Amino acid sequence: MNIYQSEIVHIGDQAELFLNEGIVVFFGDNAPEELKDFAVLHKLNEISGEIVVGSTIQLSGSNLKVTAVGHVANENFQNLGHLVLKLDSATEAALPGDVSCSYDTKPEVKIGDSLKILI
Amino acid sequence: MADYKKVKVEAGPSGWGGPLEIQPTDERKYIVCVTGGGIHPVAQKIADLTGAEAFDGFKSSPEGSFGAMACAVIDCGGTARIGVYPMKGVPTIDIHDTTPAGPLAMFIKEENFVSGVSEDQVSEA
Repeated sequence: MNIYQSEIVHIGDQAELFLNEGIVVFFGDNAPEELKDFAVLHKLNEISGEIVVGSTIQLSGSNLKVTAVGHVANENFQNLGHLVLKLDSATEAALPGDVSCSYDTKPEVKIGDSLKILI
Repeated sequence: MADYKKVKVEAGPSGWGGPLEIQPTDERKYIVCVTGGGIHPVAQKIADLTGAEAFDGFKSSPEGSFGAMACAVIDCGGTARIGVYPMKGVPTIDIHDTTPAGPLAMFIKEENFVSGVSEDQVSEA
């Protein structure tokens, strides 16, 4: 089931700091100015479920498989459209906000790309 | 000129960093809450005790941006917001139990960051 679908509308100047470490920091497009520099923004749409281990995240044509979900990750996503994807295949979330994923190809995120979450 | 009071914010039982003393000034007069879902009780208590204004950082940005923030209250899970506000010189209070991590970890110090904070950890200084 598809629980979220959106598109990338902005990539902050400093987002690369995170992307280079295999971390995608998402916020919804209502994020405060102060955070936009560091974030990848998606157009905020309705979220109709929770991300769980085994969920698939389709980002920029790559398929990411969720391997761990931190205990505040879903709360952050629902409240703020905020999602921290770590491409580290970890089976235990290192930090409470993390969603760890394995991937087929590493996503090269660009404006206009789609973001889809399926459970 | 407003007369703001100082508050002390300590780390919670499983938190890290601090204690911080938050002293709003005419220039840094906003207790900015970046948690979504309105003003968090921790931000409200700091605002009530200091006499400064609680500001919903998710609805808009305060005039003066980072330079107008007495402190930032966040509910960061450990990667992004945890570092952005300390890097910009804003004392940062995380309601979750986090420790310095992420690409911005080098900016997070005991002098500018405290975590695991609930209303119980906020008191008059």
